[in-house]
Amino acid sequence: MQLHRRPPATSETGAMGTTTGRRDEEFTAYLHARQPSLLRTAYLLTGDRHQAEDVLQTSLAKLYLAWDKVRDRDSVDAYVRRIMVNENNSLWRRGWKKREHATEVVPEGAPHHDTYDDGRGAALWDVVRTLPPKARAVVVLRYYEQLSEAETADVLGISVGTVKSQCSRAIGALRERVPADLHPGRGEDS
Amino acid sequence: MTTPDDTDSWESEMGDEFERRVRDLHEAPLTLSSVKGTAMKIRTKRRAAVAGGILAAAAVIVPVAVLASTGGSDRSDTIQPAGPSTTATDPATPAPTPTPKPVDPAPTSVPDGPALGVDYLEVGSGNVIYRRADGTAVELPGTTYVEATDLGGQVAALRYDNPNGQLVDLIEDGEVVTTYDVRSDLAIAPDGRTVAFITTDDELLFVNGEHGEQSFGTIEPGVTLSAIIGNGDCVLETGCHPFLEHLNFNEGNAYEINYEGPDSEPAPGALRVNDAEDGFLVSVLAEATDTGSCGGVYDREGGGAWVFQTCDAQVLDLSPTGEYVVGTDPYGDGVGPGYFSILDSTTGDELARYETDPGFVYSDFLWADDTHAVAVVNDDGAWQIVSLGVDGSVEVLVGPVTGQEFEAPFLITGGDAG
Repeated sequence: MQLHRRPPATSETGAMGTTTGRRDEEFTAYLHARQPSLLRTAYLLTGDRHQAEDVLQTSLAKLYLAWDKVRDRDSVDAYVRRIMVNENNSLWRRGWKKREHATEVVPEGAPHHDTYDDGRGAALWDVVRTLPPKARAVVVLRYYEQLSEAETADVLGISVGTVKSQCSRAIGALRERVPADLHPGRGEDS
Repeated sequence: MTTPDDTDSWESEMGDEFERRVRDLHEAPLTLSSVKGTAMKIRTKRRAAVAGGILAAAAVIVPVAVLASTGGSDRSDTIQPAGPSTTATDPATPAPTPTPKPVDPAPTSVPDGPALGVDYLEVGSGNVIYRRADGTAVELPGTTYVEATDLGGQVAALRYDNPNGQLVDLIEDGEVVTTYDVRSDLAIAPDGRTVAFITTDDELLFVNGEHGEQSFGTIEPGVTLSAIIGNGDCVLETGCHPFLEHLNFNEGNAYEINYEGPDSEPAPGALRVNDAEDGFLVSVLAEATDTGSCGGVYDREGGGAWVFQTCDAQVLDLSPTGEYVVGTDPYGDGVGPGYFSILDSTTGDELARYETDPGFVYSDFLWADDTHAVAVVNDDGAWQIVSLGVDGSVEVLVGPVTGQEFEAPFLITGGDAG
């Protein structure tokens, strides 16, 4: 969702309480409208529910601090996505040694259990979770958020070429690591 | 059996799987109150970081001021520090807005000159004069500046100041507002609006006129900065992209800090990135021997590929469009090479050459426009800034000025045109 465009900001000479009150009102509306969706993206980025909430909370706090600057844009969601990706990468950088070992073991299952699954989804998710966080961000934005290559590049601050190469590598990893009998088309063929 | 043609299927599977993974996730666990609580903590940390930055800057500035006021130096580069304006930023937050500073009275007026298309410094008799590409000029508050660029409102400049070593000043209206102790040269982005350097505390800092100071964290002591590209918004990889090199080439190859992390080689086996353009081309030094060197132009896009490699020239500054690149003698002569040339950056073929006879080429190179490279040269004892065109045309932009053989009266500086 995109926030609707607001009229140009008027003078901020009113009482501080009025400005803060309006900011809180607007921000609350944004929270109400967008939080579940943002949490879903955060979950896909982090692969962990608690970490997703942490990333989302920090990201929304930073959005709140910048609200007066970004609220008039049509790209508030893009702004938050960018903060979430950077927050997640920062977390990863701070704890990369610990995580490096953690990725040796397939992480425990997500809190959302799937009854439909023939195993392909679980296998695919396992591979995605072991991708480096930035590579995972690329595939989440491309294939979950359905952003174009150019939009993904813009959010992440990378080139379109890097988006393409990261997607290509991710798909290569899936081909290589998802068991052959679970590859797309296998189920339909048999 | 699946093949590479199954890409669409995998993409679709990924999208579906992501959707399935989160389809039951409808919670909204955060309230305005909890978000504001976190926001207040972040703001408190930022304020503490700003205060720390001001104290650190003051600690650097004081000895310089004391030195000047106690007559410790007979030079005329007295620094008059104004209030520092360090802006602390969080690399995970996009586009911080720098705090506006009050404007001080106008500095000493310096007559403007002709627009030459490149920035340069006039050094010699008194304070250094910084002449911008458009012809406007400003006097810098010291005599030892060797690099400068206009960040837009502030000038960032590198000076040598014994016994304090190398210092980077941020200068506003002719006065130093912030000083950094540095151990690297000043790397300037192609557009001239962003600089980077490594402090003596081993911190890699970017400073941009719009986005302020942004830290890239700690760099190993044996590593220094080669070049930077980007628009100075360090939230984006394309905004602040540093290339680094080992002081001792035997200790490792050059690397960049990019989307892949801090371990990527900008080109296979590169020891140093001589220049980078805001696209994907880099010019690199790949081998240095007692008798010469080899290098080339490498295209980092996609899987990456050498555009050309050569041992017949050092391959240096890329033109703004990436079509051409400055070349010079592959052997690093102590006084400076006897010539510089323009190479076709797609083939490495030499298109034009400027030879000094006798003499040498001094300092760095810049591109005045898409087809003219500029250098400071010493021609038979006379100093001049010359422009060499792709078509072989030569124009003397400044000079000739007779002077000491090893003390150039001009230093070209800043980013390339365009």
